[in-house]
Amino acid sequence: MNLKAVLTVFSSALLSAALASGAKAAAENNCLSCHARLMQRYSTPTVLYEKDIHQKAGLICSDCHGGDPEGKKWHGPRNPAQGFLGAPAPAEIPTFCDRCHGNVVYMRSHNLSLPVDQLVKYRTSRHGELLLGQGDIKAASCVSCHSVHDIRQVGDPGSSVYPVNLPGTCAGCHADAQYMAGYGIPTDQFAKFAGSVHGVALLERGDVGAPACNDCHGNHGAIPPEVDHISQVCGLCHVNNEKLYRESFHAEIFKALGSPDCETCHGNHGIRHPDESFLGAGENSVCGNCHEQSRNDAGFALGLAMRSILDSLAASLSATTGLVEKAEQLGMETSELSLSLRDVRQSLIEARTMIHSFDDTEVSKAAQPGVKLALELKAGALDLLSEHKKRRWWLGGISLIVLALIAGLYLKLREIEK
Amino acid sequence: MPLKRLYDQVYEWVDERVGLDEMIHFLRKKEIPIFAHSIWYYFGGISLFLFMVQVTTGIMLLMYYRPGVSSSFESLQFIVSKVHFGWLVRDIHSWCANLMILCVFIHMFSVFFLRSYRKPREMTWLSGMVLLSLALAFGFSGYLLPWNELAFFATKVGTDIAGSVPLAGDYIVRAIRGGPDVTGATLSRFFGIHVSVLPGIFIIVLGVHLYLLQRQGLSEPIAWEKLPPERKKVMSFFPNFSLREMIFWLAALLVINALAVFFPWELGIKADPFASAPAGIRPEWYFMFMFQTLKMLPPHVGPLEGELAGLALINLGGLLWLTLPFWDRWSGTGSPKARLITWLGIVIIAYIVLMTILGYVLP
Repeated sequence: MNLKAVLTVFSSALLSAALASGAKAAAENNCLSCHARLMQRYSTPTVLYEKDIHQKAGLICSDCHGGDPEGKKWHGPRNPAQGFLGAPAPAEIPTFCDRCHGNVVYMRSHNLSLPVDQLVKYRTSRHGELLLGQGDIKAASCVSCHSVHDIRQVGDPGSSVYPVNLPGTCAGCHADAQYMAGYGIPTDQFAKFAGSVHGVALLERGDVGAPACNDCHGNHGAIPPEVDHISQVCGLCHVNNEKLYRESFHAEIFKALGSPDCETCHGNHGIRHPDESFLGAGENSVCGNCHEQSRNDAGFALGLAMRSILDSLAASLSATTGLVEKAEQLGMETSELSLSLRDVRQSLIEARTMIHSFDDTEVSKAAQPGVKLALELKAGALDLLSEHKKRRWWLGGISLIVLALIAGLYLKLREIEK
Repeated sequence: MPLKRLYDQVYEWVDERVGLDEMIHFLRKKEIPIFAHSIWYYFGGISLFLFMVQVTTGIMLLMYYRPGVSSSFESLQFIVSKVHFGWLVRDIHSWCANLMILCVFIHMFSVFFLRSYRKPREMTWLSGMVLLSLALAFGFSGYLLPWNELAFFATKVGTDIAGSVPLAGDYIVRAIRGGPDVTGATLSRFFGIHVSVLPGIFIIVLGVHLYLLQRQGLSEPIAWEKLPPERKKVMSFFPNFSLREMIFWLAALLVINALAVFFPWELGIKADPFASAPAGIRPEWYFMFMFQTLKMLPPHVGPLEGELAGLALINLGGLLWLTLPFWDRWSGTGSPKARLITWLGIVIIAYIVLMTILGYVLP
């Protein structure tokens, strides 16, 4: 009997046992007591399993590996007669896990929110194609990312697939030039990502809202996005940017050129924090990558026009912020101004977003409220600074009166004591 | 001169009904000793003046301040930014509170070193100590009223300390806070205590303190006991001493105004009970030496928890200090042990200064 047949025969029996075990939580588990006494190779799972999510869900060794947990007899690596499946071979792992994780009814009793289509997606992924289609055991399977015997929930910060840890987990293979030799893909993704705006947010600031590898590539169905799909991937988070870009003339041009949408200007793994310097002339300019850096080039001129609008708003924001901070340092009450400064910043963000329309009129429209508000706030800050000056004059005046009173009292005292 | 004639007429009118001449005559008879340390006599008066400033500015702030989790901070923002001279009133109130406590401390130690607490002034000392405690309570309750981040967490830490009292600790904390945590209920009761309970008690005790002072007069220095009367230099309370006092009061007003203009009191960030405590939460400077003492104690002192042992020690020290006039039998007797009392005062001041500095310097 081959292993596939064994798996099929026992899977339903195991599933029933697993369902039951959830309720009665295993009367006896001799697997642990025996294996704990064996050499490291066989005892390590017993130690690791203490922290495993499956252990917390009440599953015991036999629920995955089969066999008799109450038995005390030695068993071989696999023993169909005892119902013992042993450790699955790399190519068997996805179906091994799918016995439970692909079963809607069973998973419902443990975690309603957990998807059950992991294997379906995995088959469509590059990893799945390589492992299941071509038998390439170097390709990642479930345990490559989730680990084995110490599997944690995705939301557990100790999990290898917790957002902050995930890039490191992927890099375990993808940054290893020797391991990846022969696949024809670069191995500097992690290094680039770590220095990118997304990487810094995720890895340095621990901002789990920032994207990890799976947010762009998918997880179980991981695959490099096709050129046509890149803006859709970016648009999952950058909704407005994607919409504006899609509606702009640039989208059509890029499509005709076969340029990878967002990636053409922003790059992929090493995406820098975008600012005004991306536009127009200068060493950070991305317009110059395609356009001739001359005002005669319509595209370049448009870049310069949009840059000029953004620069103007950014300069207003910076100058007003400086004045408000100065007033604050002098002890003036600036909370209202500081709050309104956020609206100016928001306006700048909106204007920056609007550049994806590649229409300087629209960019100007988005920037106008910010420019107007910045002017009002600047006037408010100047009023506060002037008020601060007035306070000193007030103090000077009052001090003179008080000093005159002191002098008067002193003279009166001298007169009395004479 | 018509103005002089008008003044005389008004004076006569009031005198006829109130007896101003009698009062002035009485005050002229009051004598103030003149000697090397007479300067310290003015600090009691300055403290009184600062209290009057506090009452005045406090009433002005009450016109706009609205206690409540969603209104305290906002009303203060309104006061300092929109109300005419609101910033000045608020800054004077904040600075004056600190200067008043400083002056009360100076006054207390000057009374200590001049041994003015001796018979028959024991009750004056006791009432003064009650006034000091009330001033500290004013400071503690007023600190929370802006409902900013620093005040919120400092109050949390400060009230937590009471929780280490055995058996009743939890009850005391709940009673102070109006619940298990610092909330709007705490703010309401601190406000009530600050503007109603404390001023009422303070004015009564202050009245007793001033009455006793009036009845017994200012204490003469110990060295004067052996001096012949002709060598004792004195001045009349009115106008000589009171005019000098006025000069000091006006100088204090100048200082407060300058502090308010050059070092305005920050409003900070509005308190958020769900935010984590910011780094460097410290109590007001006048509580710092006690706070630092508690902080530096080990977790356990003998069978007691460190914090409880510290509290017991501070309370015992306070009790000894309060009852000083009753156990100091050496001052004024020429006994060499009287020097020990002087040294005790010096050690206490050194301890307070050192612990306060450490409180600000150490992390």
